[in-house]
Amino acid sequence: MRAMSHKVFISSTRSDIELAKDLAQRLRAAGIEVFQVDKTVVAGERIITQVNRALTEADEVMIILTSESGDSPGLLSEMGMASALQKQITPVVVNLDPRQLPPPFKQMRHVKYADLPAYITQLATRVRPLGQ
Amino acid sequence: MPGRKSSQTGKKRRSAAQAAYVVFISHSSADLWIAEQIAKEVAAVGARAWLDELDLEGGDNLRARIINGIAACHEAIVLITPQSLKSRWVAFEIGAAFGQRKRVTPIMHYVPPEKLGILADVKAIDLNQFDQFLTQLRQRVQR
Repeated sequence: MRAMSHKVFISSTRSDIELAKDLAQRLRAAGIEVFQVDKTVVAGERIITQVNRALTEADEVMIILTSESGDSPGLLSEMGMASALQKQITPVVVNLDPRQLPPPFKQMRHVKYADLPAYITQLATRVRPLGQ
Repeated sequence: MPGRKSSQTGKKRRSAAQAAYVVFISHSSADLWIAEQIAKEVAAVGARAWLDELDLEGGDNLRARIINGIAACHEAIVLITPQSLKSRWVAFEIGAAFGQRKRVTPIMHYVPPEKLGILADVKAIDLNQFDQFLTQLRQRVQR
């Protein structure tokens, strides 16, 4: 039985690239396909049409959200794109009080960085076929 | 009289089709007056402007309203000003418009081209040359 395909696109700012790499590593270790971080759009560095193409292929978009990145136009536009494409969006919140989430992220279900292991375990179980 | 009736019907159909061409106007609330003037000019060439006074608190309802608004439009204008460059919702709307493969036209006002950032590869028009955009828009509306 083939595994359910579940591709994750990680959105982050340039200053949060190490967090993005860490997240990518964790996801891959759990057997989840990730768009390569070095090709993943780091907000402000790639043109918007390339981002659109990558997001179209993704099943889930995980957005690294910190107190600074919430103001990033690139990050916010990627969120807008993902929303328009009706992708599952998962903000990964780092050192940020949920009450201070920027307006576009308000009332959105999010994951705290410290809770990533549990989230990734659940995700891997969901996309893994029965019996494996 | 049949000829007169079909002429009137044709006019009504063309009128309805023209009125159905919707342009989404993305702007900062700080630039509302300019956005309203742009909306008037858009309407003057036969299109309908989608211009929303945003509830800046956000949440699911606002995200959905923006997505639905963009889905209902044929193209989008983004008013780029020093204020809108800082607007989270304008950035979100830009992404949403691209995500839905809509034509996006940045209208620049007191912002140099090098500040376009995520719109760097998109042809922009200065607000002082807005007539050029309107001429092109009129052609699209009348197609």
